[in-house]
Amino acid sequence: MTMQPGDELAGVERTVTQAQVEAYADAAGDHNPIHLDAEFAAKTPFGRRIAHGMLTLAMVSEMLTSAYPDNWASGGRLKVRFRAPVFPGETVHVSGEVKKVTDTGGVQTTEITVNVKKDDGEDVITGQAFVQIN
Amino acid sequence: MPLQDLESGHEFPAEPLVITADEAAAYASAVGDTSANPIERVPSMAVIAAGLSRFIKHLGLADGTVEVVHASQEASFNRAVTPGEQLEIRASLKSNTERRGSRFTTVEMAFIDGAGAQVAEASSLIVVNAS
Repeated sequence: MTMQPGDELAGVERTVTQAQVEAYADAAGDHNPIHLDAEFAAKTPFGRRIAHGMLTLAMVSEMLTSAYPDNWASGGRLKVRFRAPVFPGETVHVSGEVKKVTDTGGVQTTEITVNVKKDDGEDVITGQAFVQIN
Repeated sequence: MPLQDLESGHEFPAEPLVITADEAAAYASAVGDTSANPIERVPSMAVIAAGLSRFIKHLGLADGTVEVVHASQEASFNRAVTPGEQLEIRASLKSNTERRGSRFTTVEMAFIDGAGAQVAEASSLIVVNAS
């Protein structure tokens, strides 16, 4: 059944750990010391190590893959801004809400507002995703 | 070549990208995605992440000598990538400007399969402390 405006996608909630950040660095090939080296990170404006933005964004993609198993990987598009860093130990809440469904020539496009927040409500990621269904 | 010397429109040499089933599984495990089936297909965002990491290195932004913030990300997917599939990354600088002590660099990447079809594309805005 097609999701309709106002429908919410099943969210993802996850506590990011330093071990996860280190595993991600190896898996994605991004070993910037701001993610891995506590002494180095202490001297940056963040004051401590931060998770990769793309690690958090992967959770958005996971939510969209779960909601649209076939169509996200072959017809998905997103545009997001990274609003705040995630520090290891913090829990993030990934959510999505269908804003609009349009039909053009038999191709249905669903627009979804995506959001990642911390426990205190601070935005980590905001943006839109679009899924085409032929 | 230093980042500040690269002009908008600069094209990087194309380079190959292969994500094996083991690498796809490691990625899915690292991001905590238990719903992924990395044996059959690479998690969508893993392709973008692998490409971005490479070009962050090419731009000399990976070693911590400069402050780098990943400010925004766009991505689109035309089809799922199969583990072990041979891809080519074609990347260019959409923009590379300095304003008030910060450099704003947008890297665009197209991921091309063996038949020449684009399977995904991405645009990443990186802000570098230029001071």
